[in-house]
Amino acid sequence: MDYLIQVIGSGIIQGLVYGLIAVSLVLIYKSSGVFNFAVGEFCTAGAVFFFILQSLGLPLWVVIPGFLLMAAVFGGLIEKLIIDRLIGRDPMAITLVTIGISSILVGLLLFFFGANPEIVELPLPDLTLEIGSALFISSQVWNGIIAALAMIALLLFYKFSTMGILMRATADSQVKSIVLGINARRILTITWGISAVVAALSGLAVANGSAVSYDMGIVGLAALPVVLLGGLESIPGAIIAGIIIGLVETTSNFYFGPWLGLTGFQAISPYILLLVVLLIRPEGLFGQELIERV
Amino acid sequence: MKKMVLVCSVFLLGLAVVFQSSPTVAEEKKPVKFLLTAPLSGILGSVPDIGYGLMDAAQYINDTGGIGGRKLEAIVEDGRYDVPTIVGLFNKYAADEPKDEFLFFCPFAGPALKALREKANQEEKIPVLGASMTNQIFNDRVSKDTPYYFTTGPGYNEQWAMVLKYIKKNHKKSTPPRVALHYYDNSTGREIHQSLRDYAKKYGIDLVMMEPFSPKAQTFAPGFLKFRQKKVEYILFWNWSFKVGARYFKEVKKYLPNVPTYGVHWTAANLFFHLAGDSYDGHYVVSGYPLETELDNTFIKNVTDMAKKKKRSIKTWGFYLQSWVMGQLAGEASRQVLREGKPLTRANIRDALENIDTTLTGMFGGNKLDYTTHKFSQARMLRADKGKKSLVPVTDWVDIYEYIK
Repeated sequence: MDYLIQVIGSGIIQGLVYGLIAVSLVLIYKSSGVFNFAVGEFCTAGAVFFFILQSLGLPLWVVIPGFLLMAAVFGGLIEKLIIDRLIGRDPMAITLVTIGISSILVGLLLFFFGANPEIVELPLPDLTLEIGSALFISSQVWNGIIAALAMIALLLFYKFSTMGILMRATADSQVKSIVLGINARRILTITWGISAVVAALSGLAVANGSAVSYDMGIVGLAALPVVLLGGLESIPGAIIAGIIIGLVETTSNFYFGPWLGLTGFQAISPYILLLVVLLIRPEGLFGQELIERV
Repeated sequence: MKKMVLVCSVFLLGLAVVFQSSPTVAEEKKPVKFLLTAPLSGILGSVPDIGYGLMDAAQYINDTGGIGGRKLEAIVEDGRYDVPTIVGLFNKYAADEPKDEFLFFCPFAGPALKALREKANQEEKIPVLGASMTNQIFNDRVSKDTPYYFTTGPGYNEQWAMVLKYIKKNHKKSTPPRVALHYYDNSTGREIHQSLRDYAKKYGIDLVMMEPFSPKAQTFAPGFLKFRQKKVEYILFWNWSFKVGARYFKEVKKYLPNVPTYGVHWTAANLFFHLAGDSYDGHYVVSGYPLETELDNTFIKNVTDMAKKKKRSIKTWGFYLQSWVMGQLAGEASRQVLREGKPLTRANIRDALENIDTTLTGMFGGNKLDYTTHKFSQARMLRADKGKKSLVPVTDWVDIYEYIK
């Protein structure tokens, strides 16, 4: 029983982090139809910002808002300098540009941050959780809490704040929102900024208790099955799919893989699930079915 | 006077023609080229220290007389730890460079070593100094199957055997030691399974389980729970990623504080004190290399002096030392060929490597390197000491084959 608790708990924590990365992708996709392949590098950049501020010896209450602000500016700048110039083009073309952005960011991170990993440790109270012989160490518990709080804050922001409502309106239809007097371009910049903040928090959760390095962006790949499973336009879908994928990974690693005698089964299990779901619901669990008039 | 000038001119002209056509003088000017395809980007990250190690070793060789007047030239390319990239680079240099200049190669990736097995050993016949110590190549058949392949450390099988023997020797209880392997789940992670079983049986060790972990894992906890249930007394941690290692050492100390971890070459790095803090304390490793802090070791003195001279900021000393050793081996084997009065060819260098007579400037505490197996014969056990913030030796340098008998 303790073993099951450990597997499920670890899966949920891992899934919350995956879910948060996926939310960052969904935010941009919803607003512009662009799939941001640079999300992994956004995560890395966020963790690097945190490391830089922390290594300056600043207190945590300065470091946290500071690195989130840096991430927001970073995301906004990417949008203003690159994406904004491509507005009106096919979203697929802009999606391809994000692959280029990803490569450039890897190079810049390597150039400025260097090749060696650096330790990232959130100095927070010890929340180590012991249930029977199952144990969840403090940094993991905090990673789960950070991811969950960020998701709740984002959902509340989207639902109740004026800016959130404007963002939803723009996401529904850019043309209609412009007609209604909404500055859609500004909203898009803000969306990229918020997406970068969400990715930065994910990056912090990934690096916390371990290390950040310029090539950490590979973590973005973990969000691909999540976002496709949950549906590209659904924030709750991303969250739920994140948890599902986290659970599938841990259970297949510790139950199904050994039962089937397949080492490495964990790596492919999310894609098997994804394949099955997409055969039944091509738009994902919570995605919108696209009805086209002919 | 005119006649004198004419005679002198003819004499000088003749001299110039003779020297220009002399193969000895022309050959002396040719560099000895060593191609290293280091991971400077790609899936394993960027490790520039690997490139610096070879470049600095080449300078050391050149500063101390070169190779019979020829310079050792380090060519560092970005292999991206990617087999097609490395194979492409190797093919390019093999096609473009003369065979009497392009004399050494290191792919710095085990999979590329496997991919180039035939090309390097049968077609090109070029000495390859590898970084991977994989048993899939460096086994009893290496001299016959891949005669041009040499590695720069003891084989993984021998290192793990040394760990098991050390555990057995120092185990205090009357019951057999209960050991578990926790390994990075890929082909290299799996390759030691059979030999571990064999050595465990030989030494009377209870190899309780072999548990994989995913490199993407955010936690290793479920594996640790299994170890708790099985009452594991020692963990063999098989990993080569700094980030994974940092997380691992922190977690294992929380879950299994009284269970010591053991590793081989890739977890022997003081950098783990920086990344994992005191959690690295008490980790035991086998290493075929001295530590960068052992300045009484003449090899280390040479290396650190050069690093200082070049103003290097080395963080991954293990990698830097390893590629330095490649450069030094290349230099010393080439010199040995010339000492024996033979021409500097790939085949002669291979033979010299196999029978090399060197202490590598005192690298193994003065012991000689026996390279007949194409692997390092010398190794030590080290233990991470948080007081010194460094690994410290817990055994002398030993002949690993004698130790694991």
